[in-house]
Amino acid sequence: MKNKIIFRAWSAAALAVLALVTYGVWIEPERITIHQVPIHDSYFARVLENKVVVQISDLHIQTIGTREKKVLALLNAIKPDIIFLTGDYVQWDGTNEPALYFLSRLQAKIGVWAVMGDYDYHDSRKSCAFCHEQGAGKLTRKHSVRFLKDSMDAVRLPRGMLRIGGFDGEGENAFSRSKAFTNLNDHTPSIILSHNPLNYDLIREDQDIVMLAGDTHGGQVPLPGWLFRILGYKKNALYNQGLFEKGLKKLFVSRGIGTSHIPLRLFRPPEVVVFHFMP
Amino acid sequence: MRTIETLIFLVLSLLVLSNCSRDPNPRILNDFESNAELDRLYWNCHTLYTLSGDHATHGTKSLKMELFPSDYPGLTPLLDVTDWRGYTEFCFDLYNPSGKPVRLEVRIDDREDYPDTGERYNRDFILKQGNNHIVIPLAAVVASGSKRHLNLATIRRVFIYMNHPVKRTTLYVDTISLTQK
Repeated sequence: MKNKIIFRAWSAAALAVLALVTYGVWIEPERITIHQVPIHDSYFARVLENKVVVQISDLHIQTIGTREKKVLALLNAIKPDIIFLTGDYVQWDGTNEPALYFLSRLQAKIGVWAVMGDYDYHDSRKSCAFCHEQGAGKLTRKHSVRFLKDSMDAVRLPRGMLRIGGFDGEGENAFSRSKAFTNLNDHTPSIILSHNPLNYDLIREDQDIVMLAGDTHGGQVPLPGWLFRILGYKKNALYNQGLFEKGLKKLFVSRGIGTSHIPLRLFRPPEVVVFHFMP
Repeated sequence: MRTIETLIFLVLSLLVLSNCSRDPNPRILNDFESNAELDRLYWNCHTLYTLSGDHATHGTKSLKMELFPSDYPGLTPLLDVTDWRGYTEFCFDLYNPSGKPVRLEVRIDDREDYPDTGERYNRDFILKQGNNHIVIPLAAVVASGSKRHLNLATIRRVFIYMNHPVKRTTLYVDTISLTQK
């Protein structure tokens, strides 16, 4: 009798694990959510109120499959004014072509800005294709995404200027990271894109900046911060997902869309983030 | 007669000395003979690399490097050899096709974490028109600020670059090597 109970308990546990794995591998990664995020800041609201601002991150595209098609369909429905992309468009050792095709399908009324991620630089020679025609210095015509590599753009909008900056991904960054973002003292709203959320620590607290980042995938599974730290994932330990504020600076870390290492998401569904800037 | 003997002695001495850096069996790090070698470079913005049949100093091809106006365009080879102990010089050949001298800088790091200027080796060279054989004695590879000798057992990266060039510059690179005297 006792053995029967133990056997049934183990069977139930095994079934539960199987159900979780099935859900995590085949169901949740396809369940794209739209995450509405309010950002309260009067300077940003002055320029971006009523604008549809979208962030997509960590696509890790292998082929244009159902997930990628769902994201594109969602964006068509949302009709963004601005799209921000925060890196990792490809799989490690994957090809760039599907990702470049995806980028070519992105449309936003004002523009699409992006930064590279560490995966995008795994083959530095292939990474050139994100911006350039093959073997040439000319800009690519395959898409109209503007990649920022430790650089900034100033965009004139009807109600004022918006500054958009981008930390380059983890390529060969021999020389100092751009200090341009660490000394922004005027009140021009500045959105800084960074693949790695740890770059948030380079921004002073008295700077009224919104940083958008990815890279963490929200951990892909729910684990406590101390365990991420033990496993060596400092960015997950500190900035796993969601909105962080310190002084005037703000950071939003997206869970992203795709997966890496393990093709599983559990209670960390992929997300397309829509920001609402309000006073 | 004595003058002629002295002259002959001086010429012979110069010939011997000039060949001191020519190790007959250098450890060649980059030879740029095949397309696969282009995958052994870090590709950065503002620098274009192609193989060229011109100005090779070893084999039949060299690396044609086009550096565009930007911060630090240049060359960062992937280092297969990171333990430089047992070698005495780091060498490479550069051909400057322009009619004007070109200033080039070399940086060597012995740490993974992109050390600041004072904790890495930095040196600039003026490239004359034509062939330039650059020799860096490893005994002289010291950090610019702290003056400590770099740890030759852990050489992490080498940069050969221009510092904020204002116009497009073409250079040909070949035979990046380590030699033993």
